[in-house]
Amino acid sequence: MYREKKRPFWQNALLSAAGIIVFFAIWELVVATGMVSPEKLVAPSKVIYAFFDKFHNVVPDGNTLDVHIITSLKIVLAGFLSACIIGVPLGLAMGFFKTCNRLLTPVFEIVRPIPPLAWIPIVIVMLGIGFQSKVFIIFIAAFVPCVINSYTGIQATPKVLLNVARTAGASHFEMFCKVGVPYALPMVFTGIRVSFGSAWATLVAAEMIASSEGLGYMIQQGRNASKPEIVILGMLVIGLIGAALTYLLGILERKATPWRKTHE
Amino acid sequence: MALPSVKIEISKLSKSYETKKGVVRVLDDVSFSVYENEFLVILGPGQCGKTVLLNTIADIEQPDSGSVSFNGDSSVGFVFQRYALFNWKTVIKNVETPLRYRGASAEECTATARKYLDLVGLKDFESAYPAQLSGGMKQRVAIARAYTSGSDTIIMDEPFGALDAQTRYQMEEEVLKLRKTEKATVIFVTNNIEEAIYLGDRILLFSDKPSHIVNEFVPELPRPRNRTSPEFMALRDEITAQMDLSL
Repeated sequence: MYREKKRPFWQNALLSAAGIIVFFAIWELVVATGMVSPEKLVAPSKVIYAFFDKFHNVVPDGNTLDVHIITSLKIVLAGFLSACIIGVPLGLAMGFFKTCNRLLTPVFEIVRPIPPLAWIPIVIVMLGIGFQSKVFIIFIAAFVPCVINSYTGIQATPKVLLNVARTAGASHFEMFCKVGVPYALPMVFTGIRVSFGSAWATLVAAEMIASSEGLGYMIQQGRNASKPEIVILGMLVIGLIGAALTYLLGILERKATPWRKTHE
Repeated sequence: MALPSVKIEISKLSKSYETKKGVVRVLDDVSFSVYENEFLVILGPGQCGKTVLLNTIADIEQPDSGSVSFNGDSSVGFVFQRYALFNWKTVIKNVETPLRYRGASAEECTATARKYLDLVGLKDFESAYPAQLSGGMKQRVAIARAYTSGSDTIIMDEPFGALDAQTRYQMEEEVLKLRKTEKATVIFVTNNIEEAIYLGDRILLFSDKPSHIVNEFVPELPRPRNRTSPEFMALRDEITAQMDLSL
């Protein structure tokens, strides 16, 4: 099998940076040469300018960028964390205990295909248009992958490992805690990462419920005020923060499952 | 010589499974005794229900009819096919597992686990993860784990089936070495005739499904056994002939 040579860290970093720089350079060039008119696509230089400017300029949406970021982070983290706290144990229990499976899986299977956005009207009626309703929409989006991955992960526990624990004298609950859960952990983490992705991706939709701040709100106000650099700035900030937090989750995952790095 | 005392009495075990093709009878009225401290080999063709038999002895599965009764401690140390290690635990934590479930103190767990890791020649690997070990090493860990349980019955289910021939020979020596220091009744399942003769004090030959005992052999060969001696070969031929007949 062909194997790539292992590059030193700095070369990899340089390659990644080059990818980003080339992407922005092509974009700038496309606009600067007039291939796409500046009215249709804003140049990245303008977006970068808007980025620094937005930290003190409140036009057109009434808040600076850092306020938007913090508001959005609060909503996403609240929704995502509550989805993990409820979804992971629920999925694990459903996947391991037959009674839980019979009892809860049908309900979950019905709720699962409902898109998060379809919840918006009922959520507004029930929770109003404040922080809670936005968190709830994010929660729904993040909840499903948490449950599914925990469920599938623990269901895949090899029977022989459970038998090892059983012959060693473990109770059914001990088999769950000490065999099922650790076996499922890598899958649980995959679920958490997917779940974070969909939580963050649902942000703009959640902020469609009456907002006065937040990145999704900023994007909409940018559109209403015909300021494409604000729209694209909002998109890029969502992308950047999403990537950064996913990276942090990856570090946490490696710390929590130290046995996995030995496979590499 | 005094008659050896019975450790496990297996009487009239039967078990069937329902599959899509109808009911498959796996165990058919199986009765035998396992004597204290003997090395009993259960030899049979692949898929003949040997695992079901072991699981029944270890109380993992329940028979349709018949019973298993132990004289004294009914706990078993089990070496499963294909290692069955907890890959999220280090080697020593894997070996400690049975003691932990029995509520032993941390010091006792570590000390006992170290003792058996040393006996199987893995004391330098106690903080490695299973993924870092070779197949033979993994199975050594599993064997150490079975002995750490402190049970006086050790069950091994085709433990070396996944290993290459050379590693297999080494592991067979390893198991015989443990016999010298550790008093235990061993039930060893294999489908390999040569392995059965090399290891067993007594061999029970099982038929294909529905499994029943075809014959019993007691190899009167001095240890260490010579795999190429005429007596060894003769016994191998005899068993081979009967194994084929029972198919």
